Amino acid sequence: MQYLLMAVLFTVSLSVQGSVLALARPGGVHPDFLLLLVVALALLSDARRGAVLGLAAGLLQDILFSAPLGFFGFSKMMAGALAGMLAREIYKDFLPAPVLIVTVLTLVSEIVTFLLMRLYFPVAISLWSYLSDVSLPRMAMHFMFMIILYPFLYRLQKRHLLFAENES
Amino acid sequence: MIEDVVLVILTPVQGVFQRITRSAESVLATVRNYQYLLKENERLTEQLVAAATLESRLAELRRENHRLRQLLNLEARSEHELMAAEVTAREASGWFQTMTINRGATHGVAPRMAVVTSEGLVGNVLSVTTVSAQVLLLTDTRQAVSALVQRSRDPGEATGIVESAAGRLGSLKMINLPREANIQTGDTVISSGLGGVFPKGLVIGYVLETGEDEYAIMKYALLKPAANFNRLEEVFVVLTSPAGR
Repeated sequence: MQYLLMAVLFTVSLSVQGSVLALARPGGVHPDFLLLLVVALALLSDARRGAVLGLAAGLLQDILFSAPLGFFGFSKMMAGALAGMLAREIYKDFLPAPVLIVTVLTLVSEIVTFLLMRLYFPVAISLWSYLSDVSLPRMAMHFMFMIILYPFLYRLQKRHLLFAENES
Repeated sequence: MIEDVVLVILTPVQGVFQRITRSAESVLATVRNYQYLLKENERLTEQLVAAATLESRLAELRRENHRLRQLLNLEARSEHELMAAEVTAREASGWFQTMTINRGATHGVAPRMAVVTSEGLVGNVLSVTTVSAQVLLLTDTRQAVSALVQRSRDPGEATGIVESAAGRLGSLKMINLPREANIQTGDTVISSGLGGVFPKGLVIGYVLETGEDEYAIMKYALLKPAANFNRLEEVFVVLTSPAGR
């Protein structure tokens, strides 16, 4: 049941991200629902599980969208691990914590992605321009969406539908 | 006489009362009809929404019809064997320019096949699954196409490589053009067929401006892509070229 639910969550996120938003507004700035999901799940779990979920989601994104293998895998694994590390430090029913954490981790993930991109491909845009034009709007979107997503996942976890009790 | 006096006095008073009564009747009628009017309003609003939806759907069908006619026209006039496909997903991060189409190995799609629209070249197939394929768009930094200027069609004179224009999202850049290349604004750039991935003669884009590279050894040209990469819904996979690639 837990694996099935996880598969549904990731499938829905990928579909919304790639088939709804990207087709409706190609070239625009879109929220990264996979990152949101990874951070939210990691905050309800731990660093190890967060890293594994992040790596799996990122690799899935790499494969499905023909990105160099590990490109999104690495940044999402890192975001998942960091969120999982913070999971022990926050009150899980205190909404502002995950909302602020996802905003900060979005920034970290965006910087890592930019540096990785610049390492391997010609990137004409400067880091500052990228952060102001793309990352900031994305951070704002993640801030808003986390307010909706986290309480939903939190309620699922309260019913032990996401992770077993001893793992969370 | 008495009747006149009474009527002179009574008539205005009656008039006032009549107006009051009518107003009251009107108010009462409104109150009585309130539920009916509410339902009527609801029904009309629903009809309006349904009509608006229908109109929007009609406009969408018109656009789809237009696109499909263009594609059919392309299929009819193309010298290549084409297969229609629908775009089902696109890479959303913005770092890579790829898309997924709903045709795969079972439909005869193979890696490296060119993908076009009625307007021009879109990219080529990067990887294939049984029922879908990943297409690497021309605007991706990993893409490069050997191209020439249609007006001259001289492979020696105006041949270059078309790649994504770094820093100009959605634009293309033709590089490695000889200094003496006969190229000017408005020229159409087509695939040269060199390299074996893209068949010769597919329209890539139109020259926006030309210039010299930083060492003034070669020329470059900025291109406006022929295909509209912001409205890719139906595309064609070039299954075979006349050369029997």
